[in-house]
Amino acid sequence: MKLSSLLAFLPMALANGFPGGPGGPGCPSRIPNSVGNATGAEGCCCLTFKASCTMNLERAFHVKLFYNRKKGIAPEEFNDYWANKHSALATNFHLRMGAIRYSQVCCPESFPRCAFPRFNRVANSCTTAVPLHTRTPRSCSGGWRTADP
Amino acid sequence: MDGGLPILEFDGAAEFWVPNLETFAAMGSDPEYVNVIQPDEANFIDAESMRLIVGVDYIVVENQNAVMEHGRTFPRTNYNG
Repeated sequence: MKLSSLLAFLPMALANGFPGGPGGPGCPSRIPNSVGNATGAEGCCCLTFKASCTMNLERAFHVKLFYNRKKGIAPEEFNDYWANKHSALATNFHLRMGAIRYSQVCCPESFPRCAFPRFNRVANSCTTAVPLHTRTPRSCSGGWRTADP
Repeated sequence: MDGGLPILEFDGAAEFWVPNLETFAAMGSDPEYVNVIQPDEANFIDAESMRLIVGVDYIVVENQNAVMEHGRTFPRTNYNG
């Protein structure tokens, strides 16, 4: 489609008050507006930070998969493959299937329990607890991993 | 017990949001998943370790704003407090 024909949609969309809203150009209209006792669905757009976008996400189903890395590969290798290779395949698949959001929760081995004092009544618990059979927690002194210097 | 909260013993988690559960079901049986994505998962994931939760979000704070209007409502029940 030519850019000029795309631009032709714009005035109409703006006149409706929600460019890119459900049914409008550039925003998938797959999210049902009829779930629950929803109100104020008009004006939702997946590409803005409007409050109605939050409502859209709440109408979706949130699927979360937990897993361990394949036996024999290092955490760094797992993380690298996941973010840099697997996502290259998974991106288009999730887009085509209609996923609204897809996210990878990475690197829990980088955040040992001692990084969260709020949840530790014993200050040095991370040296004795967390029987992690698949990983080696970092030392307590490390805390949060900071950006490269 | 040392008083700290136990941490789930997983190396990672993937999460995605779909408009309906039919979409989720379709993803699992789609030829691209079966022929391309799933074989690639075997390159770095221990398939036996996989666990799943499905739910809906009730978002309370978003972008540093309190969320006042929700996409779903839950029936109020009588409870003390």
